[in-house]
Amino acid sequence: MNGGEKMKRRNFLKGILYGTGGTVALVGGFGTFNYLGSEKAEAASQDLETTVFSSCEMCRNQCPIAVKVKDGKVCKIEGHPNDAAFGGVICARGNAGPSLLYDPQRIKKPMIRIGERGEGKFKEVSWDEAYTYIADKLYNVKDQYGGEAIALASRKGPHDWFFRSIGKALGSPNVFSHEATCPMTRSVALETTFGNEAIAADYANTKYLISIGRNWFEGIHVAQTRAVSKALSNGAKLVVLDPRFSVTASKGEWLPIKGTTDLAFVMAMANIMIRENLYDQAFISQYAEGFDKWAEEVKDKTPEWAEQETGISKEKIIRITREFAAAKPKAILDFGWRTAYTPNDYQLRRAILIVNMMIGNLEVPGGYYTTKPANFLKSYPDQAAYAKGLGSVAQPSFPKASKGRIDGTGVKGTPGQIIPTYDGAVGKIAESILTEEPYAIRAWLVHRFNPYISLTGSTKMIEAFKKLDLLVTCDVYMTDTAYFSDVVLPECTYLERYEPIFDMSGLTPKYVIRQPAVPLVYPDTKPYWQIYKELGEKMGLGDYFKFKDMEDYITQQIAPTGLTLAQIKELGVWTPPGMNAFYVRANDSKASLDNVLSNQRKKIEIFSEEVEEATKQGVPKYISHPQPEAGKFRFVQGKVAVHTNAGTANVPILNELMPTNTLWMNTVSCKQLGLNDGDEVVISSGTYEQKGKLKMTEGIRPDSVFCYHGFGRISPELKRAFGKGIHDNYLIPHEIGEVGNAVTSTTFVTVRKA
Amino acid sequence: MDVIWGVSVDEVAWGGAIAFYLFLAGIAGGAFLTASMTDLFSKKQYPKVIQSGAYIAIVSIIVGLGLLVVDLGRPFSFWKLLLHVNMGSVMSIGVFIVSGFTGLSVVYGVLVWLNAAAQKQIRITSANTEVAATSVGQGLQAFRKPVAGLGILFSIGTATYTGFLLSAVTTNNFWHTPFMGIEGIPFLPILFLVSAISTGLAATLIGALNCGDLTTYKKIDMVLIILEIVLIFILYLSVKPVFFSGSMAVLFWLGVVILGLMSPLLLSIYSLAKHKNVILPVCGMVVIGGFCLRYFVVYTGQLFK
Amino acid sequence: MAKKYSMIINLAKCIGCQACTVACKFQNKVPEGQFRTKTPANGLKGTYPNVSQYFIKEACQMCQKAPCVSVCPTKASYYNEDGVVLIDVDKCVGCKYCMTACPYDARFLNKETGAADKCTFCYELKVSKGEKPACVSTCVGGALMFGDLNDPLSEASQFLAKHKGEVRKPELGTHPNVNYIYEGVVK
Ligand SMILES: Nc1nc2c(c(=O)[nH]1)N[C@H]1C(S)=C(S)[C@@H](COP(=O)(O)OP(=O)(O)OC[C@H]3O[C@@H](n4cnc5c(=O)[nH]c(N)nc54)[C@H](O)[C@@H]3O)O[C@H]1N2
Ligand SMILES: Nc1nc2c(c(=O)[nH]1)N[C@H]1C(S)=C(S)[C@@H](COP(=O)(O)OP(=O)(O)OC[C@H]3O[C@@H](n4cnc5c(=O)[nH]c(N)nc54)[C@H](O)[C@@H]3O)O[C@H]1N2
Ligand code: SF4
Ligand code: SF4
Ligand code: SF4
Ligand code: SF4
Ligand code: SF4
Ligand SMILES: [Mo]
Repeated sequence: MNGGEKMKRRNFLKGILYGTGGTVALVGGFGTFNYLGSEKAEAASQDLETTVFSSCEMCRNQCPIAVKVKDGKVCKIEGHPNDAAFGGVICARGNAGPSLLYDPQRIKKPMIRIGERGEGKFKEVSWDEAYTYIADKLYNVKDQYGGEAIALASRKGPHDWFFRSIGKALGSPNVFSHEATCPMTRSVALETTFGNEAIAADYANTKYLISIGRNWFEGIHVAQTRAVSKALSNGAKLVVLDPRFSVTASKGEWLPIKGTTDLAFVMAMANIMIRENLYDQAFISQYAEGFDKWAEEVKDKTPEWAEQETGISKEKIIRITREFAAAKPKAILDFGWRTAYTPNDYQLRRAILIVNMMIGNLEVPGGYYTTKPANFLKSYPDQAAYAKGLGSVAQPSFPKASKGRIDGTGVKGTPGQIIPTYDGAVGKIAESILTEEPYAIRAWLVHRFNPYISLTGSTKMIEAFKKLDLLVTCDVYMTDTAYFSDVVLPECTYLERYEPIFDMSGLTPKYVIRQPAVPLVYPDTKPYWQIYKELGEKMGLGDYFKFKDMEDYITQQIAPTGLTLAQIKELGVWTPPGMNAFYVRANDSKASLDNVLSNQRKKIEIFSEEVEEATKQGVPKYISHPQPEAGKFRFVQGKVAVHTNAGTANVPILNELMPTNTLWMNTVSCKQLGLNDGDEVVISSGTYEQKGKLKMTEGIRPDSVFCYHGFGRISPELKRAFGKGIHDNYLIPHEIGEVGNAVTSTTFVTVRKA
Repeated sequence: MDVIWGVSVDEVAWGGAIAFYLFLAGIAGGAFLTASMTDLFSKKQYPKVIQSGAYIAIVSIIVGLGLLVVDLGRPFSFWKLLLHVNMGSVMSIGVFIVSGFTGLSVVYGVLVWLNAAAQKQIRITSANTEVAATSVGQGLQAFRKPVAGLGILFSIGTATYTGFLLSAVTTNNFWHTPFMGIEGIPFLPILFLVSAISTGLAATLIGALNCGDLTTYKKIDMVLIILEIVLIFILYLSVKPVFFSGSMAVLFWLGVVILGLMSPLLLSIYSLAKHKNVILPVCGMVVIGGFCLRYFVVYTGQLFK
Repeated sequence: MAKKYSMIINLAKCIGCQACTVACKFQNKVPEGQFRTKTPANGLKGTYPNVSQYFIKEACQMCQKAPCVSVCPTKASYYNEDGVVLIDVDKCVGCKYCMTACPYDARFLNKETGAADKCTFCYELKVSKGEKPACVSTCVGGALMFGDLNDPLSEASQFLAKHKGEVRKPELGTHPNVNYIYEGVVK
């Protein structure tokens, strides 16, 4: 019997049963008679399924996806089949997209707080009421304290153009990204070494890969993770420095380094390479400057010394350095992603870049490269034909802020000089609210960001929230931060909205679209571009939002590329046809890097004038951070493959897979403390305490403990995640690193049985 | 890895309901056997025993089947078991054996009841209508012994089938244990048959509690208990010790061995010697022990795969 | 010629990311709390700092001599024309006999249908249409491979010719069609 017939017969049966009325529900409850969804039947009807190409937003990587839609509902999400870097692959979180889309716990209507802050009492309002409320409050603050008393913070992303326009139009200099919690020290290092932040690693073609806490197999970026996998399959060697045994460490040689001492390892590598003459002198002399000062700085950073600092034997340090150098230039000492370990983390990242440059791995396969967007290709005659850049939507200029930023970003002669102005030191917002130094922030707009979970010093954060005149959060959930807000704006999810075309250029240019796969699931939610456009219009700032809708915006954006909206909608992702991966030095090891090095001197600045001016440390200097005394543990954190930061703890399927985290502790340490696997423990930083469950493991240094980030939620509206697990940032004191970064690996805790 | 996601849910597919069903099917088989054998072969008259066994068989098998159906993932599709047949599946064959047994035991029970009613009628009254009714019953009594005879086959089938059901799972080291290491002779059907007769007999005796001298039955029961002790001992020797660990060890030693076998045996010996009537405690313990045995076997097989 | 579909799981490449787990749930509408496949860590071996760990994807092993098929009273569990073990939801009564028989804990009673459920190699929704199973096509580590072993030119055949595939619990004689490659992991 074929599927069609079977279906008919069952439909018939069902018809009869429905005829009999009330009993059906009961019978149906046993799933017997009215069960129609057999896979055969489904296979037959699957041809009705349509595919919408878009991009994922379960994390900010925005991988290209193919959304399967049936009967007006998203039934499945797959990777975009026509993108080689992604290979049709998406991660667990990307796969879980529909679970977020249809989550009844999403926020569905704008809300204004009616109870005390943190009481969780809100009333649902119309969008117009919400806009009016925000507009009034913002103008009040602006009139009373000036536009600079308004801060904006969001995860970096395509929403920024719209979100930030509100703040900038009000004359606020205090616009922040989340980057200070994430890769900012790396950005600082790139900027001050190359004058160019847009540098990436060509993992797929490398032969030797050293990770300094970069965890490709849990901190997933599909294209990068796949590239590293590919390299390993091709026989590349992987070395992982990490105080705990990450999944990445399990795929290579694990070196359980003492936390915060990585710079010693890196400097010792330089020391050995210079002593044994393993570095690429030709490369250095052609492209770099300041090498002598570096050589001087690492002269006494011997492997013996590094062994003392890092706990890694000098034999290993020497062997790995030699292996690394032997693989040059197809070797990568990775510059990390979340790079917020210590206060002077940027110097570790600078040192990493310098050691890489010592093997000349810039703009060659298997090394580092600058991304190749259209405007970059323009200067290369053989590539110029592929250069089809995006256009932009014009905006009038913004008023000049009357005061400097609260975080000192851009102030010459101070560390602020080297903080990227686009990002800023987002941790300073809470500080400014509480200390009113250099002046007080009174209103804070938060978009796609959850400072309570993501920034250190959570208790201070709550105090800061409570002091504000206005806190607005735009999210898809009633997050912990939203819970303390005055106005909560419900955005629709990525599966329901258009967004600007995303420039994902790597070794070739690449444009990715985001377009709605289905209409709004909750009709009172809106996409960010509409929210901020409408809010802007309400506030009389409509001139900054000169586009009709996002289709219009995209059309303006892609006009110069010669693509049409219809084409990019159909393709989902676009790369210039026929273009191969382009490395400036692939065929000519002496090719000019003038387009890559965007700093004034067109040199790789091993000694950086700028850093010297800002922090008096023009070449990286070693600073020894304290190590835990007996009975205390260094507290480290990291990503887990099935969750995104503070974002997904409440997403049904992901919560089902992992509803909570645990505290990892080495077996020996557990024994010493009389603790057992699974024990309920209290983790104490001295001032603050969290409860959690202990995981006894051989996979961590005995002087460290570890937990996955993103748990211990305090918003009761996150019904699945509420109250489960350890909130790391509750324990980590609010310390801002030298260049504005968060600091997450210098906290010591004690652990005792609950 | 932290996590939670990896651990397979150690769900037991067949739980208490199935253990109870296997137990009840055993009781039903054993009770029927007791009744029908008595009916067919006993020179002495034990009407109470016959009635008790016949009724217990009906109630047990119907309740047992009820449990089985309720335990199905799709209870309302139980009839498909009769529609689609797999001769290679013990369960499929079992469905027919148990159905046959259920039918026969109901018929037999009705006949036994009619017979008993008739006996009463004759003794007490001779009103016209009732005589008519009983005479129909009397006519049907001709079928009683053949039904009993056929029923014996089916009751043995039912009792052993519950063992085969489990032992046919070749991938299950515990359930599939062969008898004395002889490949091809599964252990559980033998054990379950003995236990079924023992518990069925015990249940029947409880039902026929105050009806004179049941010494023969008690002796048979003792023999069965001894036989079962031997079997359990063999089982203990022939499988891995892990099967007797954890919570199941408690059930095995306390429930099966001490409560279900040793205590009733000792008590029986004592009662035979002292001529005391201890049917209720002895048979009660045997019955409970029988349930413990099924529970133990069903769970252990799944917990220690 | 009939096909002999096989899944090959290259343990050294699996990163335990559970993309397969989630893809399978959506592809096959697996109810909350239930899974056709999972990829747990196979424990952590060794003592600090010399430790090792790998992940092992678990699902139906597609036995060629499948105990679940032989015990099924209604023939709801069956081998299809390409040797894939499937369940006819219509015939299944939910007796769970197959679950007790499966030595790989691959089956569960679907909460919504009441019928037995397990990995189908995505036969009806994907493979029969020439596509790969959902878990295979989303595998982030690139650990999964799927193909016809009766076709000597298939990627799967070619791979198995060069690498040693091992089946789980071979002593049970179930002859699984899922092959694990242990090269590069500490077993
Ligand atoms: N599945 C998943 N993927 C993600 C994300 C996610 O949340 N989930 N988030 C995305 C984002 S925003 C980012 S930034 C990236 C992050 O990607 P990664 O930076 O690779 O990820 P983390 O897991 O934060 O890695 C931090 C590791 O550093 C170790 N560590 C801590 N202190 C030290 C130290 O002092 N020295 C050394 N050597 N190691 C140390 C920790 O034990 C941890 O294993 O992942 C991205 N991808
Ligand atoms: N101690 C410690 N702290 C850390 C880390 C750590 O490892 N340890 N990791 C750090 C890192 S690397 C990062 S990047 C940050 C990340 O922290 P955040 O920048 O806060 O970013 P996410 O947690 O990814 O997501 C923030 C919010 O975005 C919401 N969201 C998701 N989709 C949408 C949408 O479509 N629209 C809107 N409006 N909102 C949406 C989510 O619900 C979530 O509340 O945390 C940092 N904090
Ligand atoms: S890495 Fe995963 S969650 Fe992030 S965008 Fe890609 S598929 Fe989505
Ligand atoms: S693994 Fe289990 S369910 Fe799958 S074929 Fe084998 S016995 Fe059947
Ligand atoms: S549960 Fe369904 S598939 Fe399994 S044995 Fe019973 S009828 Fe067959
Ligand atoms: S083959 Fe299909 S059904 Fe089987 S585990 Fe993979 S996705 Fe699930
Ligand atoms: S998707 Fe692939 S790499 Fe990830 S857990 Fe599954 S099998 Fe392993
Ligand atoms: Mo991040």
